[in-house]
Amino acid sequence: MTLGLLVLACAGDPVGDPVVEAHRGGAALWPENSRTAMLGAIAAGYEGLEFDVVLTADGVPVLSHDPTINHHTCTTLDGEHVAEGLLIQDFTLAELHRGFVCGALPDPAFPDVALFPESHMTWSELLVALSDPAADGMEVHVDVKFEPGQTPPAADFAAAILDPGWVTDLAQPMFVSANLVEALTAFQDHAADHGEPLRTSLIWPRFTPDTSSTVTGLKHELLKSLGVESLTGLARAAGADGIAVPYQLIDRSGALDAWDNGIDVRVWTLNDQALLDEYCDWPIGGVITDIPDQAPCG
Amino acid sequence: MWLTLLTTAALALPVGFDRVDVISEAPGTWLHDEVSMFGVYATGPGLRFAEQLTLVWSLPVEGLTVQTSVSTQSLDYEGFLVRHGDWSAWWHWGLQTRLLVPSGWTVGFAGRWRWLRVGAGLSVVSGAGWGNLRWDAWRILPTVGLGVGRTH
Repeated sequence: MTLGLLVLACAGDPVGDPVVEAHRGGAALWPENSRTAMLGAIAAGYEGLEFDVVLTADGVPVLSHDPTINHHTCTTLDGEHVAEGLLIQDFTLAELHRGFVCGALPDPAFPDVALFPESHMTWSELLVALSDPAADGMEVHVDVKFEPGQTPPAADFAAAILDPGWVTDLAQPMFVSANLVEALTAFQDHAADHGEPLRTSLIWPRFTPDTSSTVTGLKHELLKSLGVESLTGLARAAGADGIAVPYQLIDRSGALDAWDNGIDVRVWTLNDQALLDEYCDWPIGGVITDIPDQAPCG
Repeated sequence: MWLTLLTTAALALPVGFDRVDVISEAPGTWLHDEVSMFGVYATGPGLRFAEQLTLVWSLPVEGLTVQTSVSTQSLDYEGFLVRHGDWSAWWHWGLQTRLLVPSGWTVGFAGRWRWLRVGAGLSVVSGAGWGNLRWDAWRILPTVGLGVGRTH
C-alpha cells in the first residue's frame, strides 16, 4: 500500500498538449480583430483563432473587443479621432462602415504593429474566410461581448452568430465564450432548440471598469484558495464545457482538478516566451496568446 | 450557523500556540507547483506562499493540533516516537479541510530540534471545497514541512 502510494506520488502529473489560439487574431502581429489579422492568422495556419463579437443596431455581428468603437485605434473616414463611448449597437452596419475605420492608429498595447485602416469585419465575412483550405482544422473561438445596457440582448447574439454558422456548415470545431453566464445560457438554449451541439466556455473572472483589476484578481485568488471558488465548480455552475482563466489566477492543482473532471481550461493572455514555455506543458486545453508564432506547443 | 457554532466552540477551547509552519505539509502543493513558477511569474508563487503559511494551535488533547492557513485548515495528530537530547522524532497524520469541507489527508514523520520542526511525508489532496463539493480527482504528493515554534 505504502509502496503503491509512493509510486503514484512519483508518477508525476499529466502533461497536456494545449491548442495555441491567436488572441484577437494575434494582436501583436496585426491590428486586433481586424480583417488583416483574421486573414493573416488563417494564412499562417494557427491552430486556433480567437476573436470578439458585438452586434450592430441592425443585428449584424462584427468583430470588436468592446461594445464601443475603439477610440484608441479607430478614426473617422476623414482621419479624425473617434469620441470615447460610441456604442456599436447605435450604428447600423452601413453607418459603421461609412463612418469609421479601425487599425488606423497604433494600439497602445502594441505600438509597433503596422497599421491597416479597415472597416469592421463581419462574422459573415469571417465565415467565408474560414472556408479557405488553409483554415482546415483551425479551432474557432467566438468570444461574445454581451454587455447589459451596452449591447443587444444575449439571445440576439445567439441567433445572429449561430444561425449563419450552421447555414454555412462550418467545418471547423467551434466554441463560444462569454464572461456572463446569461450569455452562455442564451447560446446553449439556442443550440438546444435547434438540436445542434455547441461547446461553451466561461471567461472568468469578470473584470468590470468600476473595479480595479488587481482588487478583482486578489478577491478571486482568495476565494479560490479558500475553496469557495474552483475552475471545475465555476464551469459546471455555468453549464459550460470549459473555462478561460488569466494565467495570474490559475494554479496547477486547479488545472489538474479541471482536467480530471473533463473541463476544457484555456489560459490567457500569454504574451511572453517564458509563460508560453511553461503553460505549453500544462494539462489544459489551450493557451491564448497575441504571439501565436512564438508558442512552442500545439 | 454551523460555522458560528464551530467557531464558538473552537474559541471556547483552551488552545495554545504551537508553531508557525513556513513550509506547510498541508496541502503541500506549494513546493510542487509554485516554486518552479518564480522565474515565470513571481507574484503567483509569492501570494500562494502567503496562503500556505500555517499557524498551528495545540488542543487540550496531547498531540492534537489545529492547523490554520488560507489554503487549508486541518486537524492533525502527532505521536511521540523517540527522543535523544534536544532531538525528538514524531509521526503524524491529519485531516485536511477547506473551510471545514474535507479535502485530503497528510501522513508523515517529523523531527524536532529545540524550536525547529522538519516534517516529511505524503499529502493526498483533492480539489474539494465549498465551490466544488466533489472528491473524484486526487493527487498524492511527497511533502516537506518546515516550522518554528514551541519547544517540545
